Amino acid sequence: MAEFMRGATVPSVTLDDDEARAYASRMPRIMRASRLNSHYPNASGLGGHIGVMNPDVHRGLHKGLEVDERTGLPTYKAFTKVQSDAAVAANQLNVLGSREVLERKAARDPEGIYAKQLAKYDYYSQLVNADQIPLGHMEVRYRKRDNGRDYFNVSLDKLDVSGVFVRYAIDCSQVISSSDQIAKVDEREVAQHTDSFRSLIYQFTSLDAEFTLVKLASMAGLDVERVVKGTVGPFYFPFTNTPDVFAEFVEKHGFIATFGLDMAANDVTDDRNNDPLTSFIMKTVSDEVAEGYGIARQRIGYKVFKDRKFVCARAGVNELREIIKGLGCNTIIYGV
Amino acid sequence: MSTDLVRTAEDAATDSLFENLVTQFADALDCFRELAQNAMDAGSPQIEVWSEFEAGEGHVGTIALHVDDFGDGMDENIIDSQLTRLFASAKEGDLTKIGKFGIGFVSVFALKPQAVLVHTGRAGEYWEVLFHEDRSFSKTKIDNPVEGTQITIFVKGDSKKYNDFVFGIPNTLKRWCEHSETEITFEDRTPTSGGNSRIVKINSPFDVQGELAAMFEYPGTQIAMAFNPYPEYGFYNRGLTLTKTTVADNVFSASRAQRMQRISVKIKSRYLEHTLSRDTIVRDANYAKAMQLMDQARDGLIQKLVSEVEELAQKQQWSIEEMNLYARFLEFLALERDIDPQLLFNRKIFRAHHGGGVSPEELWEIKKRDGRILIAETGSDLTQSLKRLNVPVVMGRSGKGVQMWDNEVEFSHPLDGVSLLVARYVTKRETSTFWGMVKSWFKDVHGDVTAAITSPDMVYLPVQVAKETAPSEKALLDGALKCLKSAGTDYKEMSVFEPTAVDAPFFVMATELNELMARPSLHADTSSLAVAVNREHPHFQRLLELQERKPQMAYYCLAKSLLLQEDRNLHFDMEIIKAARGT
Repeated sequence: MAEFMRGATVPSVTLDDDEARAYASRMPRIMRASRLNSHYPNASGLGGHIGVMNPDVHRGLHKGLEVDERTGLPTYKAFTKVQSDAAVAANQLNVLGSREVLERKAARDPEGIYAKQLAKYDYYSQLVNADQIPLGHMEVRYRKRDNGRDYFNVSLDKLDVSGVFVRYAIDCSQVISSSDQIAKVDEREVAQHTDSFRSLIYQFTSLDAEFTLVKLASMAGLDVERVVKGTVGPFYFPFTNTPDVFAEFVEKHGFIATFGLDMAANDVTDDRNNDPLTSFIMKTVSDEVAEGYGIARQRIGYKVFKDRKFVCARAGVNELREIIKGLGCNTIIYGV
Repeated sequence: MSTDLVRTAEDAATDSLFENLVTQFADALDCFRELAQNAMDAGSPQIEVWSEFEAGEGHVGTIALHVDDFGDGMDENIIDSQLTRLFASAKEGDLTKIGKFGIGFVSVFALKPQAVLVHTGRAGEYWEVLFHEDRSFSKTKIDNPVEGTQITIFVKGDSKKYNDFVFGIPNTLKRWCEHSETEITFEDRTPTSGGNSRIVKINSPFDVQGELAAMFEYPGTQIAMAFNPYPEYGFYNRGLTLTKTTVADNVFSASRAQRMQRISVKIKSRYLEHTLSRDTIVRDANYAKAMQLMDQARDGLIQKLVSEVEELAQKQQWSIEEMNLYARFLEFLALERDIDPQLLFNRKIFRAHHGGGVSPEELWEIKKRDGRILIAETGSDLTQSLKRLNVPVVMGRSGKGVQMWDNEVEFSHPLDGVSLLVARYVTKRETSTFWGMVKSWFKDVHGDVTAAITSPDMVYLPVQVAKETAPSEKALLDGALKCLKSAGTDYKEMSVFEPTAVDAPFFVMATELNELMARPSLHADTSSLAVAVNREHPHFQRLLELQERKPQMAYYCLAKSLLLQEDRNLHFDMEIIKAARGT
């Protein structure tokens, strides 16, 4: 169990160097194969971030790689370790000085301090050029001003407490004169979210898109066109908590990576759930709450689409397709 | 379900309009730019363009050209209201989208395809739309999930035609999408020459060629700039090329074109869009916003240039490369006319011989003090001595080799830029004061400053001030000095010097008597000046003789000679005579 926050732990497994090497070199390929569009967190950033957890990159400077057993992704601690190293990398390279000098000194004593410094130098050099993903980043992009309304695209990327990476994307507009502003647009046409809106959205990341849309739509002057939650994870490996239905496949083919999409929007024509891992919120709440959602659907006019795409070993694509069909879904599956 | 793309527009004029739109672009392959643009706007992380060739009977076979994206895709509503409708874009006015007009897709028909097949999916709806050769289309709901939009253009052709596509498509994509923020690849999956297919990456880094290349970031806008004598100008939106040219007037106003004459720039901005015909950029209110940012970036580049010049100027020792770099950077600075002078007044951009930098402000002060600014190409004993006397000599060439016509400047020597910059910024400093401004109404200040720039050899004469003065010499000097003082033309002191050259002048003057005596400016206060007389000059010898007989006349003559040589206070003649008679 790894400590997540003070007093809180997440179930985790520590991979040894060989396992970590295989895991960290496979992850960027999986991320690339997933073809994540703008509804998801940045795939190359995430792939790059995990890629530098490879022992071949950090050269033994870190012991083992901690992976969240629930999601198959590195733990928050493992992500932040890379983030902190990246923050000091440029400075450390200056402190360490010339690689040639370190290499010369390290050659005299391969186990000595200079050999360690040389390893650090090479690690930091790779780190400064590696793609990274922020563990929490919110951005409001200004789209246009039309008919007394400002249109925005809001996105929040976050490593969620549930251990998956999430992008929450919201297309909305607000009446310019509204007292309850979610963002302010300055003279450079740059939108800056308000603190209260930021806190609100951060609270929503663990919840589903429909809940968020209904909540936001109740704000005065705010018109929400769409809420999309793109999720990277869970990934299933032999060492993770894998649902029984996928366990045999994972043992045979090594892994399954899943990428969820949860969309509540005015332009979704029908409610559809094509995600074998989740169900509609209305099916998970009490009748009374479900009735409330029903009223909101009529009033706001949105519908919900849930989907999940998969990446697995190329040899297993057809087999996985059959499993998923067996779960009543017909999803995109990419082989790698 | 089958429908006709054209006739659903319910407009008789649409047929010809459609034809015009299909053939609107210079090159039929430009349709790949349009499809790439749509894919970018759909939020696709990558665009895979690929081709395959299936040989038929005889030479002619079927060429399939694919464009696959993984963006938002389309549902039935979008297919009906946008894909199959002209001018039905939902992106108008949206700063996060490139496309505006809703005409991109129809350009695929410029390839005269036999069919165009579109597979697309959105929110759980998956569709197949097949456009026929006559542009009618059929639309079918399909079960297999599709992510994004996959377009296949079927064209009849032989292997030569196929190879033309294989060569032309990546070139077209490179031309229009080289800096795309979305990764784009092209793959020929049926190489006619045999062997394996090869993936060509279309994207390349967003940068410019030239000196002092810099990147400037603003919200929604990124600008790469560098100094370049042969500049290029590139305009992009999210990396899609809107226009690229070497002619500044094609993309800038006349004044900005002038300012950008030696600066290569690539600007990627949410504010930019191309015209309907894609041949240039729209110059509207958003373009003006982008240009404001470009002006800021140019200021940033100039700041960078000034900092680099200043750093080089102040380096203790130079390598040959550094000297050449300094000369080149200074030339850039000299050729940039539109720079806020306040930016430069206190920057030590000029290199003084024997170390240290000098600012235009300091040179202006020196000009006020000495009436001149010294510039020399190389250091010497003279410049060394001047440095000891706190008279900096700027490294450069004094007013040589600069040719100007119609605001153009050309240098025949790397250091020609120095005198031009000294004259320009000392003039600007002078006219930045109230009196300087008033002076400029009546006088050519720039001409005045230019005339004050000179070589130390033209000013300074190495002299040896006599350590001892003969009593007769002292009497003559004291008498003349007294005459001058009584007449109101006070000099600090007067002594004799040993000439080191045959053509040494009669008088030399300076603030201090020492081994370097220089002629001060006409405006200098004489009371601050010391005078040395050439003791071997025939005129001085004659005056010494005269002194023995008519000392008052000798005093008058020496005083008068000084004023004549200096061409000052000649109207004091009567006062000098009176003063001499009183001695």
